[in-house]
Amino acid sequence: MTAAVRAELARWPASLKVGSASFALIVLTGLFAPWLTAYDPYTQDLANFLQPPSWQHPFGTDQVGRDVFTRVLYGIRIDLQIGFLTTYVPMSYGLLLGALAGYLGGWFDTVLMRLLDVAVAFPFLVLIIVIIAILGPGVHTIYIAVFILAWTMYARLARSEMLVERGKDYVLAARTLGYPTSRVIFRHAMPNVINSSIVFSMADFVLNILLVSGLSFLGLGVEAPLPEWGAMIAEGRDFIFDAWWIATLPGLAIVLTGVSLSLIGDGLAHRLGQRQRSFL
Amino acid sequence: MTTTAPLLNVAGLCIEFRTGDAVVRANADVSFTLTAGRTLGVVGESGSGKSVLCRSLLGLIPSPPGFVTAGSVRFEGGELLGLDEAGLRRVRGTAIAMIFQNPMSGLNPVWPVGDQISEGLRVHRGLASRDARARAVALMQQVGIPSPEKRYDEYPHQWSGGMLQRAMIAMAMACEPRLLLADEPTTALDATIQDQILALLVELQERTGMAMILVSHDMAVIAETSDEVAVMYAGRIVELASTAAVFRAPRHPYTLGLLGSIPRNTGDTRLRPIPGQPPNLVELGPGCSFADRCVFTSAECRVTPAALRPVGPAHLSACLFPERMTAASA
Amino acid sequence: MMTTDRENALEIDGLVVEYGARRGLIDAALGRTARLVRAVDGVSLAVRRNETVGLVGESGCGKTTLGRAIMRILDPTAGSIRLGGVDLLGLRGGDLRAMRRRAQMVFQDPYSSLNPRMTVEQMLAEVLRFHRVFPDVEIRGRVAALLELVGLAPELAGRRPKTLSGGQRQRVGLARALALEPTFLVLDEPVAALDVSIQAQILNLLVDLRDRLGLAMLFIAHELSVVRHMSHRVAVMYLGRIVEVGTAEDVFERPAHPYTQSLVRAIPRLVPERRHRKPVLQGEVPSPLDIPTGCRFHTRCPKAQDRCTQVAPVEQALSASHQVECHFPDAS
Repeated sequence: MTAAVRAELARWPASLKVGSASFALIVLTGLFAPWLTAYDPYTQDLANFLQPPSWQHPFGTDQVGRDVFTRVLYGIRIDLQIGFLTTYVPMSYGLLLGALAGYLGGWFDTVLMRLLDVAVAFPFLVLIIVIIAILGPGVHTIYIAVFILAWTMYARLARSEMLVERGKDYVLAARTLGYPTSRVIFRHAMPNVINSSIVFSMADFVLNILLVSGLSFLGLGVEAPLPEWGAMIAEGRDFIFDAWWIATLPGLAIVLTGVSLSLIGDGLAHRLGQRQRSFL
Repeated sequence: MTTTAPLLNVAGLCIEFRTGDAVVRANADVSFTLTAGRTLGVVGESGSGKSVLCRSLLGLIPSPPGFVTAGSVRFEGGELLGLDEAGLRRVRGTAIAMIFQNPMSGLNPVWPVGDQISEGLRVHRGLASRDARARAVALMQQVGIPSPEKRYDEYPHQWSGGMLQRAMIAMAMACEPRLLLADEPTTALDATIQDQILALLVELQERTGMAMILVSHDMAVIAETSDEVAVMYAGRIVELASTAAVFRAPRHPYTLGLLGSIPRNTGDTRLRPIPGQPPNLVELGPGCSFADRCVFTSAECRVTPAALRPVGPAHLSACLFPERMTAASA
Repeated sequence: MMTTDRENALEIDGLVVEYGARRGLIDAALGRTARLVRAVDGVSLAVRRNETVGLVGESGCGKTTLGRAIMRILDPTAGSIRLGGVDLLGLRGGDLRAMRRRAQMVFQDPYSSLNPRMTVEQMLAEVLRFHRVFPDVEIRGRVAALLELVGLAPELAGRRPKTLSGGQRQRVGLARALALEPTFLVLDEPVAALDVSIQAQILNLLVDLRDRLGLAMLFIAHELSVVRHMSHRVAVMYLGRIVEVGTAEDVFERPAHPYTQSLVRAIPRLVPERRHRKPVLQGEVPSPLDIPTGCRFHTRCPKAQDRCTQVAPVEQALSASHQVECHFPDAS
């Protein structure tokens, strides 16, 4: 470990350390899933259905005899991928559009803000149902719906931060040094604009996993055999009194992931100075 | 100086700010007295402790991180340090009032300016709203706010900085305080407005006989408005004397350095700035805090504590070797 | 003032800068025109080579706007700005970038004028690399030379602004402005945010650099003693116009415009005599949205006559170096 890394770590608040460690553990578990379990997430074993947790099946088995532990592990891959894409794809162009609107102003800003108003006023579930009606259910449908709507928060954040940065002298200085507008925006102003979006994205990540799980639970999201946590909870719903483990343990996975990300978000907010106060 | 009992007597005041492991000595052994009707100018650069001093007199230092570790502040014979909130409230606004540097943030944006001026009269004097309003309008008139009846119901954002500072002064004067603390009252204002506000403060003082502590970084403002001057550096008063003495015959090298830093248009294109940077208040050594930047410094300066002591009639300096200055100028 | 070199470094002629108060969609649909604020209203000014011209005035007088218009951070509505004989307002793209090398700016607030994410070295190297002034191998050495030029220790190269003091930051801002070896500097309140003792260090540095590099400067400040110390000539602005211009001596010793007179008398002096005084000027600067008719100073002027409320005064010369825009100037 180099001195620089150690110095950086020393400045991390406890919440950031705990959150990152547990999130890293979740990611690693997902990556090494095939080595951590002897079962396959899709293979049915009708002889051993609805088995309670045991040494053989730590999380028990579901109504068609699949190992719940294995499915929860493989679910990490699916849920994190969904969470990642639904958060960071919209964030990337939301930030870009918001920052450009904040910096350039004029007609671009006006048009974007009106578009934003429309997107914010649009009922999300209605849009999803419309898209499902056209394309049929599935992860892709969710992606499309989220990509249409979820960038608005980032655009708003980036725009308001950029309006502040734009007037600061260091941005004016960059302009007087003859740098082209793109360089002024991306190299100089942008790094000082993204902090609040990064912090917000952690909360957004959690909300998006919950959203997709919720949609899958309603049967509007991920299709049946995929081991997505929300879909698993939906499947386990019918057996909740006889076989509590089918729905509860994937639910616990969602909670653990959510808490880890929230801790990271909280810690980042401190580390990036979003909540720093000074006295004197 | 007369022999009348002082209005305010500050003795050995020490204030620390503690954050984590760091202890910042914001005020160290600050002592002075102030008589009714007189003005003490407190001058120093940022971080010298002048604002902390001013705020501590009204118990406005947030604690933690700020702690008064020693000293006493006696006002009209009574001790102010250690008073509880209720006791402080009886003093604040009535006996001692304060005006701040930034009048924009000193007024609440959601209430009419006039109501904020009359509030003190309603709270401290128990005046009925109608009487408080009449008195507030009279006060606004006194501090030079034109057509006060009409402007009573306007909101702070409708006023200019100079007008807001007048409103702050009216608020401070509402209960006829015996001591007015003015913390950089004109720093945020333009030259002609600064001139108006200073003239107003002097006029109000003459009329009411109140004492004033005027904190400023601007030597010229201090020179024109103060009877005595306290020069602060790194939390200490390093020189304390009559205004004439401090400006005509300074007895501390820091004061001399400050005066040399100001352009005087003598035709000389070179200023004589103080070299180096103000010290880090966390890492002060045992000796004189100014030793590293002082042109008269010697090895003893870095190890011997430099306390404020008489160097002439009614002239105090914290310099260990003030004679070196006179020798150099002779 | 006599100069052997007659060529002007900067010539501003009839400059107008307007800000539009933003129009809403509804206003636009109804065809309402935006309300314009004339921050700079017909300013002409020249700065000669090796000369420092001070620009003074109270907040809202347009002095910062004028500085920014020269740097093309703001686009003027009318008039011309010529730098070394080249009209800046016609320049675009590469030509504008080339001009940037000849005119640079130092900002007031050393805490916001440096990018908090970049080290001192990155900031200076970026300027040099971007403008390809030097081959890449020489950049490191050039950065070190710049730091030395402004009196900064080479160890500070790797630091970020947060860990520097106000005076050090202002030196970095100055090094950045000098990196391209400009011939003209706009200094917008360069010492207003600094403590007195540090302020004097920076003023001395500016004088040194000016003499050593032969820089022409526009020195914008509200503090008159600093302006007088730094400037050969001084222009006084009020509500968007230059009301008086002359040598520092003309303006400070023989002010002819009532506004300049008030400004000069309002400066607190370092004389330890309590001034029992009347304020020199009543009232406040009117809003630039609502500029008075006639002479724009008549609402506060102690000498105002009927004519002042109706007819705008034109510039008249009191001497070769001293011009004033007033119907009744003091010609003493």
